[in-house]
Parts: sequence; C-alpha cells; structure tokens
Amino acid sequence: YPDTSPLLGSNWGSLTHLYTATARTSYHLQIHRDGHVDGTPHQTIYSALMITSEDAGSVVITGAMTRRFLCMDLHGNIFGSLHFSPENCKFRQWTLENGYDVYLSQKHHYLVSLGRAKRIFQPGTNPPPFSQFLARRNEVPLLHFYTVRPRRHTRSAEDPPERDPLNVLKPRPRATPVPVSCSRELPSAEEGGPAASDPLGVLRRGRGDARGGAGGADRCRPFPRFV
Amino acid sequence: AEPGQGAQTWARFARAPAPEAAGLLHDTFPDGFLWAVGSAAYQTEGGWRQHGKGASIWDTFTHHSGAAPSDSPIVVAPSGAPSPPLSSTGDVASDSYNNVYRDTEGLRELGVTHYRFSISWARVLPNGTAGTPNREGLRYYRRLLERLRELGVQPVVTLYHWDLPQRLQDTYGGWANRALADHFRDYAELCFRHFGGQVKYWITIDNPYVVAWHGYATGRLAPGVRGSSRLGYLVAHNLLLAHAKVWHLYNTSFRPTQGGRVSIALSSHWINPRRMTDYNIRECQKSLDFVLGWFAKPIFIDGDYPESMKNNLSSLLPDFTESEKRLIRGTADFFALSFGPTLSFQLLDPNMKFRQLESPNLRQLLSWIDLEYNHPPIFIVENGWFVSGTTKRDDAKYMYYLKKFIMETLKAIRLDGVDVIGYTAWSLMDGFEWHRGYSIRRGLFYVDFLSQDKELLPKSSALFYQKLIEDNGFPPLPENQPLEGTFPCDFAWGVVDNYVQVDTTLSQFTDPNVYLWDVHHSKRLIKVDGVVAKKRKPYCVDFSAIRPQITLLREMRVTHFRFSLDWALILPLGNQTQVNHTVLHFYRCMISELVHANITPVVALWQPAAPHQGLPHALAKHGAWENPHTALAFADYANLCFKELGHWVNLWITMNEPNTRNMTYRAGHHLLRAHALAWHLYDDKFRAAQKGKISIALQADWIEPACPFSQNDKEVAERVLEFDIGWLAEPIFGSGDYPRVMRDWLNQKNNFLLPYFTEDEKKLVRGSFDFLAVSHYTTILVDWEKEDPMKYNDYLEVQEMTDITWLNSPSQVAVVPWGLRKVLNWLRFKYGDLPMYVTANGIDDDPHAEQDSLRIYYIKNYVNEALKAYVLDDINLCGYFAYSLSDRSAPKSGFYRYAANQFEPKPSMKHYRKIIDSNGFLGSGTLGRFCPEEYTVCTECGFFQTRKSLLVFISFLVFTFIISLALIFHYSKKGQRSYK
Repeated sequence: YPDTSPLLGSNWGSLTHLYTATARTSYHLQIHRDGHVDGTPHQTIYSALMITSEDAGSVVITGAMTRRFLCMDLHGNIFGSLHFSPENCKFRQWTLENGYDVYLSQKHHYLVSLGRAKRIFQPGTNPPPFSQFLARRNEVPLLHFYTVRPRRHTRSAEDPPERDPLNVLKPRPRATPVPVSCSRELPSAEEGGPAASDPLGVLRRGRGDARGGAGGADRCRPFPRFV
Repeated sequence: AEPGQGAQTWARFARAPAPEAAGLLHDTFPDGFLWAVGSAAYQTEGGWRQHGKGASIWDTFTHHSGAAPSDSPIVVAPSGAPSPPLSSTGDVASDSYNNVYRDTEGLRELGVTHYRFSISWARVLPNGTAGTPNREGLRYYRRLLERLRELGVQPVVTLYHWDLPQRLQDTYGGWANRALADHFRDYAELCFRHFGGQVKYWITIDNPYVVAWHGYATGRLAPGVRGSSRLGYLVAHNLLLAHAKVWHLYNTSFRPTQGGRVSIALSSHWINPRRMTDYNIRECQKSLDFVLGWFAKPIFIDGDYPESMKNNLSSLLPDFTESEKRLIRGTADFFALSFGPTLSFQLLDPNMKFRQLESPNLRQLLSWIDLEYNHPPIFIVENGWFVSGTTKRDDAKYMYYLKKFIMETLKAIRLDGVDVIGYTAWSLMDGFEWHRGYSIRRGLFYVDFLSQDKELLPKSSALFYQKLIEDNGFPPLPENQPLEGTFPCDFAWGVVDNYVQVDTTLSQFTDPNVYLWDVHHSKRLIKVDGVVAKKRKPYCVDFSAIRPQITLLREMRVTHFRFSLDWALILPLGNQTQVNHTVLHFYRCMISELVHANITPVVALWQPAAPHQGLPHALAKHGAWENPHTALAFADYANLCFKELGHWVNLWITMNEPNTRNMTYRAGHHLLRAHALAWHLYDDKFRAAQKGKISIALQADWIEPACPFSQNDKEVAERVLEFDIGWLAEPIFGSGDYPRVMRDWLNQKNNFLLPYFTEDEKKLVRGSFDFLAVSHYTTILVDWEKEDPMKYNDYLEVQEMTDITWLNSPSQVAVVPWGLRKVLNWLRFKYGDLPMYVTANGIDDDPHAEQDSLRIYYIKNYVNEALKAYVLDDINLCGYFAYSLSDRSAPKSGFYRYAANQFEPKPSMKHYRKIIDSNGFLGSGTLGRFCPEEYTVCTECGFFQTRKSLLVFISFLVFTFIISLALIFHYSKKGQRSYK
C-alpha cells in the first residue's frame, strides 16, 4: 500500500472479530476458505480479521486465516476475494453515535451487512440490521489457527512395505560427486582461455541435487568474473 | 469375556503416548521368563532322503513345481554333489540333520532357556502311518534332546511344521481328508511316547492359517493345491479337529505322567483402522477374526467360528456338530502366538484386511489377544523379521526389528498387564525360507549355504539377543540417569531464530506530512499537499517490529540470541554498488536494542536458505560457491557488516550450518576460503576495536555404528563423521587439510575431486576460529552391509538407518539425547579442548497439540546431556542455543506459536526458562551455584552511570561556586588594599 501513513493506522497487526447483533441473535462476520461470507455466533478462526487502514477513514478487511480480502459486488453482496481491487475491497469506516461501526463501500454505496436485504445506503437513514459492528478482540487461541491437515496413510509406490514396514532404513539425501573430469566431457575448443584454470566442473549426481542431471556441459563452464 | 472385547484395543492405543512412555522402557522381564529361539525341520534339517526318511510334501513341491522362487543367490551346488544345481529346495538347507552338536553349541552361545524345533513327520514315519518307525530318524531327535538336556535347555517341540509325508498326500489328498486326523493322532502318540519324558511344551500344528489357505486354496505353498476357498476352510476345519484329538490324547493319556503343556501355534498380523470410526474398527476386528479368530475362537472360547466369519461366508464355512464343539473347546494350555513376516505383509490374504491398514504392532496384538481370549498366558513361539539374502553377519535391520518387538513385549507385560510367559526369536540359523527360498535370511546365526561345513557364525543380532537374555531385558543404565548440577556462571543460554523478520514499517510520528482535521464536517484528516514537516532523525524505536521480538526474548530470559543476516537483502546485487541502508539500519537497531535489553546478539553472516542458497541472486546465478569470486564477495560483505554492526556484536558466526551433504568439494573449498578471509579480516582490522569473537558453526549430528560389535560399522561411522563434519572442520580446527580418512577413501574410489590447499591457503584456513560451534539435532545409525540397494549410499558405502525403539518426532527425527554428549566428546578428541558452543539444538513437534511435550522432553534431556559433557567429561562448553524461537521462521520447531503477527508461548518455553533460571538442573537437596550478578559487583558505577548529566551539572555548580568565591575573595582583598 503506497501512501500508508502509520499515523492513521489502528489495530495494525492484531486480530479483530466484527460482531453484530439484533435483539435476538448475534454474529461474527466470517470469511470461509472458498470466499463465502456469513455469520457465526462464536468467534472462530475464520472470523478472525485483520483490519488495516488504507487512508484516512478507509479500511481494508482481511480474513486472517484465508488471507482473503472482504470485497463487495455491485449488488451489495460481500465475499472474500484473493484478489485485491481498490474499488471493491476498500470501505469507509465511521462510528455511529451508539458506538457501533459501519463500513460503506464508496463504489457501490452499500453497507457491509450480514443481513439478507441489501439496499443503497442513504445518509440519515437507519442502517439495515446486521450492518452495525463492534470490533472485538480475538479470543481464539493461536493454536487453533494451525490448520490440521488430514493424516495420509499412503506409502510411496516404489517402496513396498513388506521388506521394512517399520522403516529401520532411513537414508539421508546426499549428493555424491562422480569421478569424471569436465575436460574430458567437453571439447576444449568450446571454452575460452580460462578453461585451463578451472578444469573441473560440478560433478555430481544422485539424490538431493535439485539442479538435476541434465546440462553437464553448462555446469562445467568457467564462471564469469563479476564485480 | 464376550467375543469382540479385543476391539477396545484400538481406542486404548489411539492417543499417542507421552514421550517418556514412547521410547525405550528400561525394565526387565518377569523372573522365569522363557527365552527361546526356534527352527523348523524342513527349513534347516536337510538330509531329505538320508537314513530312510520319506518324502514330504515340501520335498515334492520344491522339486517339481515351478512355484519355487528363482531369485535364490545359490546357483551352483557344493562341489561333487551328484544332484542337479542346488535350487530353492530344502534338500540340504543348513544341514542340521548332520550337525546336532553345531546347533546346540549355537544355543549355548545364545544362552537361551528354551529351544523350539519341529519333528519331521516323514523322518520318523516315512509313510506317515504308524507302523514301524524309522529308527534313525527317532535317534536324531533323541540325540538332539540329549544334548539339550546336557546344556539345560528345555525343548519346545512342534509336531507338524508344514511337512506332511507325501504318502499321506497321495493316498488321502492330505488334510482335505478327515481321516488325516487319526494318522496325526497316531504320529503324535509316537512322539509323546518317545520324547514326552523330556518335553514340557508341545505345539501340535504350526500356523494352520498358512497350511490351510496357501496349501489348499491359493496353492502358493506345499502341497500347492489350487482349490477353492471352500477347500481352504474345509482343511482348516480338519486341522482344528486333528489338533483337538491330539490335545485330548495328551490330556488323558500322557499329562498325568509327563505333566507337559500342549497348544497350537497361531499366527496373526496386526491391523489399524483407516480412521478411528466404529465402522473401521469393526472391519479391523473382522480382519483379526478371519485370520486369528478363525482358529483361536473355537479353541479358546466356545468351539465355534467367529460370528463375523459365519455371517460373511455362510455355506463356505463348514459347521461343527455340538459334540465337535465340545471336543475342540478349551484344547490349548497356553496361547502360542506366531508373529512376523511369514504372515504379515506376505501370506496374509489381502481380502482379509478389509481395506484397513496393516502394521506390525506386536504390543497391540498382545493386548487384543489378552482382551479377546480371557487373559490367557501367551507364549510367543515365533517372532522376528528378515534381512536380504545377501546380507552377511551385520544384520542391523533384523536386530532392530528384534529389539522393537521385544520392547513391545516388555511394554505389553509391564504397562498393559498382558501375561506373556515366553519369547522365541525366529530363527536359530539361516535356512530355507519357504516360498522365498534363500532370498531372505532370518537366522541369528549366519550359514554360508555354499560352504561344505556350514558353520554357524553369530550375527550381530545373536550378540544382541545374548546380551538381552543375560540382562533379562533392558535394565536401566547408569549413564542414562539424569544428572543434577549447574553450568558455569557466564554460560550462554540462547535461542535461535533463523532470520529476524526484516520489517521496516515505522511506528508513528515519522510521517512528515501535515494534516488538517476536518472536525466539523467529514471528521476526517485531510492531507495538506505540498507542505512537509522537517524530517526528523530516525530512531530505532521507530521500527515497530523490533520491540515484540525483544519482548519474547526477555520473557524467555535467554542471555543470547542467534540469527542470520540476509546477505541478499543487504546487498541485492552482491556487491557494494548497491547497499540497502534501510535494512542495514534495521539490523543495527535490532542488534543495539538487543544489547540494551542485556541480550548478547550472536550474528551469522550467512546460512544456506531457500532461494539461491541465501546468496544474492547475482552470485547464485554465477555458480554460487562453485565460483571462487563468491569467496571474495563474501569477504567484502563481511567487511561491511563488521564495520556497520560490529560495534555491538560480540559473537560472530561467518557461516551457519553449511550443508556438507549437498555440496561439491570445490564449493566446500571456496566456502572455507571465504570463512577464513572473513576471519582474518576481523582479526586484523576489527578485533582490536570491537573485541568480539568469530568462528564458523557446523552441523554435527552424531553417527553411531548400527551394529555395536562390528568393526566394519565403526569404520563406516567414522567415515561418515569425517565426511559430514570433518570435511569442513579438519582444515580449520585440525591439520589445515581435509581429513585423512576422506582423502584416502576418495582416492581408493578413484575420485580425485577433493582440492588441495596451497601453503598460503593452508596458513589462511588453519586456525581461523575463536571457538567451536556446532548445531546438533539427532543421531543416525550406519551399517556397511547393503541391505536395500535403493536406500544404500554406494559412494560412502553406507546404509543409514535408525533404531525403531527411539522416540521420533512427527517428521521422523530421532530423539537421542546421548548423541549430543558423544559428538562433543568426539569433537574434543579430534580438535582438542576448545571452547565449544552448541549453537542450535531442537526438534519439531506436533503443531496441533496443546502441549508440545516432545519438545519439553527433548530440551530437558539434551540439556542434561550437555551438562554431563560439561561436568563429567570436562568439556569446555560455553553456551547452549535452543532451536527455535518461533514457528514463523522454523515451522513446528518454535517455542512460540505464530499466527497473523501474534506470538503465543508454548509450554516448552516455560520449561526451557526454568532450566535457564536454575542455570542447569537443581536437585531437591542441592543448592544452585551462587552467581554474582554483574551489576551488583559495582553499585557505585551504576549510580554514576545513570546520573551522568546530574553529576556534570553538580560539578559545574561547584566549579562556578568556587570561581565566584575566588573572585569575591580576590576583589574584597583588592578593595581592602585600595582603602588602605
């Protein structure tokens, strides 16, 4: 964000949950992995948001877990997007007299709302239900933010289990040089004068060599001097 | 108990055990525990038609069927044998028939209490039917028993280990005929009568599952009948009845006089649910019902097959009459269990796994049997694993399987309360391994099948088993006892973060823009264009990222903090034409703030990292360390760092953990030069002013010989240590050249790539250190034998492996605390008594667990081993750095969880802090060494230090006062004089 001034920043880096309520029910705004946005009665890892100030009075809301930006389409529907577009994903924030915050899209003129009915916001009118939010501090332990990946039971196909099911044998990858000299591999004419001073190339093979086996000739070329 | 009780086992073992319980249990077996070793007649005896022995179905099967495996290493028969080239048959095998003395000497060497062997039916009754027994055959077993009596070894005798007389197969169709039961009974009676006086443990039939299923349904084993599964179930039915008859025979006619015990050896696999759901657990239970319950439930519970089998198989499964049920029920005096590679992962029918996951877990199987069959006494009558047919006497893989299985047996006894009465290692010697011929070996003694005399040579596993029997288990070792004591007062307690997050976001008050507050209308701040306030000097507190880091360190109460600078970030182009001063300033701030917080920064100039090995892209592009100019560029970079940051840095690391396992010799050479250049630069230009220390930090995991008694393995371990550590250490800390071992090995392999140092280089590199710093994480076992060519390292001729009784981290790193002490001692032995730092030591743990108990265990035990090295071995250990500070730069290994810019301490952090607070391990009675706190030494200095400006002001006041006094005095004198 170019013109970011920390003077205008608030809540930088800390996790916030946006809480909204009516007389009967209360929700926290949450952004799911697939970008779907809804409300949850309790704080979850998906309702943990990072609210950063873009410029004066305007904020960007990001799901901490999904890294999706809260954005709005032209009908006022909100969704989580991995792509940040300044018009759709920036909201003007201000505080109402009752202490609640509202977030308005300046492009689409809708308020961020968890309610189903969307209507254009007119200043002076009452905001629709579920569009007034309180920023609440995160109470979800950090442990929960660690995503649980399903345990895999697959074995690699090349390694039939019956020989060593408990895995006693545990090779560590090790690159191993092979005793071949570059000068033999390469016609010397291809190389310039300094070749003689650098006759041995990168002679390695085997596992763990990320750079692979091809291009032996390349790797034997002397290195240019850099300044 | 109700059938199905065993299913509780999976829930019981679903939770991972605490680290203390997951590793080796130091305990012994109950008194009177039976330590046995086993063999089977056809696998070892040979002499297939010697002295009137009749042919067995295995003789016929291996001679006539093409089913015998062809991957046998044996190609040529021993010289002069008239028989065709020795293929995979048991014709000669280990020739036990002619070597009674040799075999029993092997038993004596092992020190076993029991020996399990089987009687070859066709050897004592060549036709299979009672009539005139073969005297020579009976004499062989009598001689064997006689020798056992002399040695005090009790026999455990199997009547039927798969070798049915061929005549019975031809006449009756083998076990498919019910009539066999009566012949078996007659044969058993003969054996009871002849040998029963000495034999207290009888096994009627070995592994009826394999006999019935693979002998008669799949045809994989002798007699090789490819019948239907219906035939398989019928044969099993007959085997059960035959067993029952023999048991009743013994029970009524022989038990009163002979007082022995009779059972049937049942084999099982173990299986785990795919997921811990009721459905999957039921499928697992079904799997065990189909394999083990098939025979065990009729015998141990109610004389009938498991419900799940009856439901699934309906008419395929024969029915027992009520009288048969009564006959079969209760016909075992103990539970004889066979567990190992015959069935597991081999002869187990895949359909009987019910899509669940096979796993060789003996402890859980024992627990299941205990629950399912009413807590029977269990005698493990066959257990072990195998090594490849080419492996000779250092059979490390077999040995560690044996150790694991025995450890699980011990845990079943001590922790789960299972009544295990004996253990049989399988087998005494290498032999004919059924469908696998000679392609695998399972003996504790090695047999060279091509040799004439077939000597029994003890393998490493035999020495291991012998020691185990002598100790009756795994008694606690004195060197494993935790030590109480403290480290020296100025010991460096550190923590590592691979990289500090360079975050140059400034906190408030540095924005030079001027704003208007539109307080009446929009209530917003409006930036005033074109007006900029005077830029003020940047301060370190402006970086908002530094404070939180330091808070974490203070919370841990570490005295030292180690991290690496990011070369590519400081010098994006790799040379001085472009220096990122913002980053450099950030580092300077980080370091000076650390010093202010009383934490000594330990700064590494470079460590290999993901993009471009942590090098500036330009350098990486031009060959990285392969290129000799990289060394010069490094020296320039080091010069910049010393100049800009050296003022606050007392401990420098030139290079942290260069990866010796993925580096060419030339790259290593340049790396050493680069280090030495940087060291000399510091030594010449900066040391006098900055007074710091500088060295290199090497990764030093411990390498232990897999077979502790093997000279070859010791050599391999030394070789791997020299290649892993010595390669870079020897030139600097030792002789100035690469290790002798390394050079000799490479020459021997015709590899002449290891560069030579010129005299100048030697002078440059040798001694370019101020201390010895090592990272240590784990221990690796090495064996020289090529057990698995796919996993063998041909270049160093080493098979790397692990001890499966060791505790492992989620990413399979072994926790072996004593390895740290060993590596520190090795380093001292090699390079002398230098000041040493452990600059990284830590482990990954399950990031989803609330308690990182593995890390707690790891830190506690490794620091204790470091203490032993310091106190008991007198190693000059100056510091210990735990790895790592947070999950941000080292996922899963941190003391702090990290998510979305938040840090949260894990429980291990408090444990490490406790160790730091007591400067080691304080016992209940011992008092910690009193360490004078530094600032209390000189209270006055502190007083003056903090009030410097006040003192200056006071002295100024005093000075002016004196001057004024002097002036007053002077002028008053003068005045007096003038009035005079």
